[in-house]
Amino acid sequence: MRLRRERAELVVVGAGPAGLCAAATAARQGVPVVVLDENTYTGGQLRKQIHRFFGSGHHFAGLRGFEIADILADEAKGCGADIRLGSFVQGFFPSGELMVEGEGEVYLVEPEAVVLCTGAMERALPFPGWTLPGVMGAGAAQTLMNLHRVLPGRKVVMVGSGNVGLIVAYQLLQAGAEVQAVLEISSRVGGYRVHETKLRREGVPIFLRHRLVAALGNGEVEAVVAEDMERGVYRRWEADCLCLALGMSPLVELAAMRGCRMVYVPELGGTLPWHSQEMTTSVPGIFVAGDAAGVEEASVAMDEGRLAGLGAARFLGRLGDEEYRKAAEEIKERLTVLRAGSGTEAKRRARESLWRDELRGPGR
Amino acid sequence: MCPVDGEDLRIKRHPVLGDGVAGREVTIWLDGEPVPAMEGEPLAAALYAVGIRRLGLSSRRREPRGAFCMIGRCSECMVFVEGLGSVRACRTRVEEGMRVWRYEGKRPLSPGISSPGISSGGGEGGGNPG
Repeated sequence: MRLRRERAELVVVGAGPAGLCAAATAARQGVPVVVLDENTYTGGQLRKQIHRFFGSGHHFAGLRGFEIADILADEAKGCGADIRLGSFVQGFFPSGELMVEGEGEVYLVEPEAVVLCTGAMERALPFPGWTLPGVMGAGAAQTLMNLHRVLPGRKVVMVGSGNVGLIVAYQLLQAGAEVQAVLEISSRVGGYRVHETKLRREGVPIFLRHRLVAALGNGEVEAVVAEDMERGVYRRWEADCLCLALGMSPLVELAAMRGCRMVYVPELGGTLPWHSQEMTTSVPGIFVAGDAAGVEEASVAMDEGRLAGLGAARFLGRLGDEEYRKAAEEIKERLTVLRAGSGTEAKRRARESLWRDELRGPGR
Repeated sequence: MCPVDGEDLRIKRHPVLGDGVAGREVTIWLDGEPVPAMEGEPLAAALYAVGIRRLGLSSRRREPRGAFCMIGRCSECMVFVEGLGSVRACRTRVEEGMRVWRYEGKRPLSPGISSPGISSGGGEGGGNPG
């Protein structure tokens, strides 16, 4: 079978915060950009965020995620980016071609440069009952209720008290569910105090030093059991939904398939394509940004996307070295400030060793 | 077994998203039984909305499975749709009259379909793992 082929100067994979910012930035330098996203909507995970964001003006503080998604998408489209939704990138071959399935067709794209903004997926955890219907990722529950207006369950137990766990637990209340408990294995709440306070104010108990033991039920979740590690006793909650907020892992299949050197950085979510501070990978012309380059926040993803978009424009000869350096420095400084405020010390250190290329992985 | 027992998990009032459920209601068929759904929504959302979480039995251990990731990565929500083959319910949009069969082990429940992958459409491979 012969597939239709098309050429492209720059392809951005993923229309989330990183991808949209990369596309807008490159397009503003005169680069023709094609953005491919398998979803039928722009914004990626921003689309289902209904809380207000913090940060600075560059990162749309005070707006809700779906509002930011609209602004970024309008910006990219306004700069002339060709955003193709419902377009699933099935492969990225060592030859440099992308295989795309979209609009009832499978076709090949030969790009001169690519920015991979494929995001991340939620981690699972094996425990007795983990495959029972009703056990789902916290982000999956968020997708169901905030995008599709369907309650994932009436009585929910949340595992994990990081920001995702706290925010989704609160959004479950907003959608009309009862949150029985938030379970946290460590001795402190992982997420921001504001999110914790909102939840406590609604009377949701957060159980620290509690280890998830099992999901019980005949054919689907009916109860959740956890161990109180201080007292050595078990607690049980009636629940029809168990949400897991245990962190995310970068989605890196395309980078690996293309032959980018991969490294393992547990602090940033696991295996990811090695990249420089300028978001270049080991393959010339291939850039990475956002959660695919290590799981952080949406505001970081936006600036990483802008940095990658600038880098791609320079690679394509649309931007001089001096102009690039000036614009890139500004973004890098902003990222430093963002990371000082949000990430952990371990995360920052891991990222610095990554940039210095001190990490070795099973690359090519 | 009968899918619809009056369960309604649609969010009709919401402090941020506003009230009401938009879209056109259509009927789809799950294992031969009618299920109300909203046109264009993911199949998994339509089934969860009426309280159906068991989207099939896994191929080897025949354990009940449901949607886990909702973004097309985990494949736990694999179902058989006539004309499409094996698809992930979270990635497949509802169309009027869609005929959906849950897997029971390696085979869909449909009496007329002996094995996944022989339908007209391009499937994704039969059943979910485990």
